Amino acid sequence: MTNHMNHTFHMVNQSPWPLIGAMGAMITLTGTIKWFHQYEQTLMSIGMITMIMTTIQWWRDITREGTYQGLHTSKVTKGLRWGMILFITSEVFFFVSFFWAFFHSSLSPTNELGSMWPPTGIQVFNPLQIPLLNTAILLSSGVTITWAHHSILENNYNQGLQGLFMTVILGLYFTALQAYEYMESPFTIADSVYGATFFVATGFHGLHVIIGTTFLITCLMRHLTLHFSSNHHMGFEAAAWYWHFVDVVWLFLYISIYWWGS
Amino acid sequence: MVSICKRIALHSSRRNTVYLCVRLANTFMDPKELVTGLEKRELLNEEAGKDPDPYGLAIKRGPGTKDKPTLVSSAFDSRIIGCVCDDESSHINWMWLHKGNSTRCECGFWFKLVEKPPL
Amino acid sequence: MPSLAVMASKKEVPQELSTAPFDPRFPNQNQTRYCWQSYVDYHRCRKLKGEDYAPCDYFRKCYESLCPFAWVEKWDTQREENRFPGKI
Repeated sequence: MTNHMNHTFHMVNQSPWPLIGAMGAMITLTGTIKWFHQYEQTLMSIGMITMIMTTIQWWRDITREGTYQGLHTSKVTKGLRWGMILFITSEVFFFVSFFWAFFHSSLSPTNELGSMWPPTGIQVFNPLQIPLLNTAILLSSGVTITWAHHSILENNYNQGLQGLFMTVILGLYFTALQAYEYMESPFTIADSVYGATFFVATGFHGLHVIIGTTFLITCLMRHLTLHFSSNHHMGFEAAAWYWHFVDVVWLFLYISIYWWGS
Repeated sequence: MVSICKRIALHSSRRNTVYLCVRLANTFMDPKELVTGLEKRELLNEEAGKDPDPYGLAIKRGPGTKDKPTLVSSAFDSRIIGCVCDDESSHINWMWLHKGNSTRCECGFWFKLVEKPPL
Repeated sequence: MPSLAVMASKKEVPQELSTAPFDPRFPNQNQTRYCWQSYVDYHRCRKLKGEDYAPCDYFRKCYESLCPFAWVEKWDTQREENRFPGKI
């Protein structure tokens, strides 16, 4: 590689994953629409499998380039940091749109809802039951991941492993509880704008929890195989930031939708 | 088939021994042992304090006359440079600088390529 | 076309015409909320005060002037089937 460049940046070799990922996304989208209209899930499944395989291989390649080939110099890591921050910022705006929809509908409820919020006939979740437990779970997971990070910084391998493991367990516990709530819910997504705003906002949040947990599990694997060092663990930091973002979104969800909106 | 199994068993047992040692010792790999490639070379260079500017990025224009051109280092035979003719000028005059002859920017400054080994 | 005099002799005594008065709670062009509020207030008044209480009719006059008849029909049906969304 040095035969062709003498600079600190990483000029990535040609890779098929961006194109395949884009095509996979298009197939997934088309397949989802087909599912909605013609009740066939085949195309959507093909698209989703393509996207999952692409993401696995793309990030496997990045790990190879960074950890195994040493191409992630400090300038490159800085760029990755900025990239993650900007991505999380864009996700914040994504959630802002759903909160906007919620507040638009709930601050001045229409006549059809009975001019009240929650609307007539909607049986809301008691915010002091499972939703409160979920809040406690996510806050604790924020603590465990911070503990894991500090352990890594202080060169303590085992505690880093334990912290990361506990965070994953808490994330999975949250997902399981939320899935249970979804199954036992007295209202559906079709039940007035209440159901729509509730399930779209909490649903996308749940999806982000699953993505975040997957990211943390990947970090756990890399930790076990000694990819991280005490001063270079960008992948872990990115997972930690993403996890904190997921936690903060949940706090907003809890306070606005579950608590204020009940 | 058997040989593949033997290889897998051998390699994974070697790997797992390393993991076990790390767990018992409870430290991460020494950062200097973990890095490789360009990252390692940068780290070693920084520690040895040898060259603060390994890529030749911090070159400032000197007097730049024909006899004393500004020396621009590069590991290769050609390099793109940009001349900011006036301190306050916002326009950059980009040009290729090839090994051998000195090149002159339109505003009169001379540049010359100088060999420097890559990091 | 009858002459003006003929038309004048056929003039009837005009009835008392009135409509819902201006309500500062609903100052803008969209009067949906006024219609809804009058309907709900009338039925709440009826429930609280009984069938003979005359002042409740103020609300009835308001919503009968303001509301599209289709809406009133719809809400009456919902009330009969015990699925009216408003609190009465």
